Amino acid sequence: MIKTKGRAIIGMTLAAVLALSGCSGTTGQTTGGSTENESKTQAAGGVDVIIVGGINDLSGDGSVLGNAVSNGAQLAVDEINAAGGILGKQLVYKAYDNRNDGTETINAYNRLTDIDKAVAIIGPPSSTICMSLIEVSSERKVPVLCLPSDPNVTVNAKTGEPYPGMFLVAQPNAIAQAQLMSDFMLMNKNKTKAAIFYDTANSYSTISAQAFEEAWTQIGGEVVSVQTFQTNDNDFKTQLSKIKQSDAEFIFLPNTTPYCVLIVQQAAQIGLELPYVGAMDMANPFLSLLDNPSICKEAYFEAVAWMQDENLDHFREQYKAKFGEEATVKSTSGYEQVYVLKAAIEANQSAEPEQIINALENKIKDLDLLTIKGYTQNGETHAPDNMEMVICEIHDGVLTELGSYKPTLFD
Amino acid sequence: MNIIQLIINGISLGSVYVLISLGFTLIFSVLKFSNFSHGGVMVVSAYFGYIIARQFGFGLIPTLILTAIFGGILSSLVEVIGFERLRRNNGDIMLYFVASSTLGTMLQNIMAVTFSSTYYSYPTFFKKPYFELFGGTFTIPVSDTIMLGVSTTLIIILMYIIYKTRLGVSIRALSMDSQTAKLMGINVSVVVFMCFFISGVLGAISGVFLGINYVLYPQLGQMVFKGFTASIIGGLGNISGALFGGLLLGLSEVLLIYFVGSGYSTAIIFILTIVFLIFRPQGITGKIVSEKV
Amino acid sequence: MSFYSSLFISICITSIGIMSMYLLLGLSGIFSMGQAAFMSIGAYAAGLMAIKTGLPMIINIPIAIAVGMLVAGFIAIPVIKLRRDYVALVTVSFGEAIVALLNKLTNLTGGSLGLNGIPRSMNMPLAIVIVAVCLYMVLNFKKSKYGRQCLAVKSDEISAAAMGINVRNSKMLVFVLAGGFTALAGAMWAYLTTYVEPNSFGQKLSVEWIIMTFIGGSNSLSGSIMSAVILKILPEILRFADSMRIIIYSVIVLIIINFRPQGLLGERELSDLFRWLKKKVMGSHQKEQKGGNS
Repeated sequence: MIKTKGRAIIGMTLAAVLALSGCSGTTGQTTGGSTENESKTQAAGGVDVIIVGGINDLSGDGSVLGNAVSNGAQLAVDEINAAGGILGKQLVYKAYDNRNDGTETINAYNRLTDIDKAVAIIGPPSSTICMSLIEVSSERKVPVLCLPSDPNVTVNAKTGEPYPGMFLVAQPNAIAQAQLMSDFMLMNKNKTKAAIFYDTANSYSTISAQAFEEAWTQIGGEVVSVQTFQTNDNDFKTQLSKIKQSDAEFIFLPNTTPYCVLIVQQAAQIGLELPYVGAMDMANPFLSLLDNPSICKEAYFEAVAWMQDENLDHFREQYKAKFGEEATVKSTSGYEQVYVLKAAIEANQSAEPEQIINALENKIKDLDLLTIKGYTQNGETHAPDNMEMVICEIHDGVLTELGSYKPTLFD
Repeated sequence: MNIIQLIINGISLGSVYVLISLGFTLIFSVLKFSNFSHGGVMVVSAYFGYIIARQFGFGLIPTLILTAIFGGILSSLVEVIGFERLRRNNGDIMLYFVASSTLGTMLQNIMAVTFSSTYYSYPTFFKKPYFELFGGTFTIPVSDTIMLGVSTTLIIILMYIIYKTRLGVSIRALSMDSQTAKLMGINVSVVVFMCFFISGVLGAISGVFLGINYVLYPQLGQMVFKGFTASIIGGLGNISGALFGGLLLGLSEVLLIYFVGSGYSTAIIFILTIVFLIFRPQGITGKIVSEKV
Repeated sequence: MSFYSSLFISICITSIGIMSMYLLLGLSGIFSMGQAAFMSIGAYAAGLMAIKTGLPMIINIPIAIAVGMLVAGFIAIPVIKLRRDYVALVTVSFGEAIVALLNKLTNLTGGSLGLNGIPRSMNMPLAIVIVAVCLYMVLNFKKSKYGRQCLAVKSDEISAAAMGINVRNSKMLVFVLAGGFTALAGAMWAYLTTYVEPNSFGQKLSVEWIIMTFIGGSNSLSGSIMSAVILKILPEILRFADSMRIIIYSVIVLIIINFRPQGLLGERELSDLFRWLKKKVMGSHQKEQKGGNS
């Protein structure tokens, strides 16, 4: 009796598993790959299409940013297709979820290049994840257009040569960002003493903190307190109390949005009222997450785009109509990356990955995009040249922009 | 840095752990296993609380009550799905571990899939987030004070239930010897069900407070391990141990972060836990819970 | 390296990790919830050796294994003395502590930025050889007296002690071995992906391994490995349901726990299958021979 029951259970479980796998076709075919964002205008396995891959964190810890980038890219792809495609061919965007895991990222890259025959990848916004793609992209020579803050992702620190497959597109790296903010705080706000409070378990946070410390001291500022925490810590009052005791004039917070929210809230709880300086992550939805936005009395941060700009109204409408959520700055990054890719393909009149790499290195100069004017991609650093950013201010809970800013103290 | 403010911070942090550890300790005392799915119940209840607070604009008390009921039901469901069969068939204790950690992971992941595309935070329940004492020298967060008050009240209520009601007698009988309890006419299934319900209520309340204190994200469920540590320090098998364990853990964390920094504090707490387990496995208040021969 | 060979090698790596889980969970009943931390240790040890000293892989991997076994030895000291619930807590804390340390010790480990530039020396033949060797070792361990001691300890510690088995030594041995295997898996992973960072091997991975072991049957080595293989390939097939993957696995585990707690394969091994086949074949022979008599 038990034997038959056991076998029945095994049978049912196996059947369930196989049924699930049968739903999407067998390994080796590409049909089961994409999310429901796949563009409907292409024919599956059709003849004249250009496949663009996307590797982002769609369901893990970084999924807020990952989804934003991926959705922005999808929007761009749909727009381009509606306007006739590139070189007469339609684009297909295949998005894979890497769940914020390095191994998954490499798997996804292998699958996109080997099986799906993608010509370029709109890559992850996380430096650490991008690192895992350095080796494979150098081998396969399918370019990855990503958003790492760490310059070591695009350039080999030991040899000074750029990695063939890695490109930082549509965002300045951490060093440029740090120089911008430190220049602003010194020149525009006349502050000289900074405290830095960053996440040692997050590469973006760590790199931004290091870059800021260097830039700030380079132009003559003083760092009076450096406090750290680790991701998944929830209580910051101890470190914040230490900052309160030091004579810092502002706090640099290069952390992801939820931690910025927690830090600002807890600082208010202990009565700490210094201005905050963020890297990029105090952009929306930061204010909406604070339980009381006016506790954020004074804050400055940088962004690649000012979302309330009228030029972006159409973009935001489309994004909201398509995805049901508000577009954020990272969505514009994903969007711009696809347009840069389009420019690269058109520059060399070819969608071959190696040609795209060539174009990305040499032929992206003075390009006018939706949010960036005069965008140039530097062939030696694989990063943008002199990209401007917008400084945003939060005053008593109200967000405004102060226009684009170019640092003057650095050469 | 004023040592008193540090202590206040430690107690505030600890009050979160006390709540978590309460729900955990209850199940451990009665059923003798570590319920790792408690974290999952906490997180799901936290999101539930968020939804009803935002959608219907409830204040703190109604949110707490509704979420508590939700948490209790969820936890009982978890018991039925995960543990009931095992209990009936006298399953191997390993299976309880696997079932509970799998359930916990599953609940967390369901939240991650449904809600992870953006961040959420609870609406403000308090006009001013902190009390000031002595003209601003010390600040005490309001939510933490309420948490401490709620935990203490709950402990008192729980102890009343366990020591003064019939249900409590059944629970104590069950924790001593489940076979004999059954023989004595106690409906073990119902008692276990009630225990899980109560544990779920506790978990839900901790979930809501966690959501208030912190930004809502699925990994909040990992806090259950802090609750576990607190239970062990305080003494598994003793309800009031949750209070001491939680506060002590909160204090140690704050002090360690202050003196040693955030990275090393995790490692040091790990070492301290081991030392504690080796030299005083019954915790501060507990009795030795030995395995049967 | 093609997609398929990369996938194959990562299946091999997971199998080695699952073998260590089998040793712990299946043979000895030690519920280690932080086993993935040993993978970090192995990966970082191998990676650091490769980057800082440039020694070849053939030296670095054994060093990584040794480091893993050493650390396991330290952690085993409290683990073997504690009862099962506490072992879970200790191993979880251990996992967290390792991640925190790796992030903090920036000068040594590169901190949260990780280690980059490990040579990509892992290839399919090598992976196959390593897996085969490990499999051989684990099977022999299971059949040996040490394996039987572990099983005795798992069923009932007090009786085992009464029978003269040194319970603590037995657990220590298994824990150290498991640590070594997992460290090996980590080192292989480092040489496959060329990049390690502290958050690669967290709680999530440990829980995934526990799930894989239990679906196949914690008492069956073939079962665990089989489920590891299937559950590694499934994500590629189930790409459309990527985010739901863990949920689906959890549901499967719950079904199995409720209705077939010994796992899909129970206690049976592949060798039993061969024996059964052999009996069938031999049996029909014997029937023919006997047929004339009755």
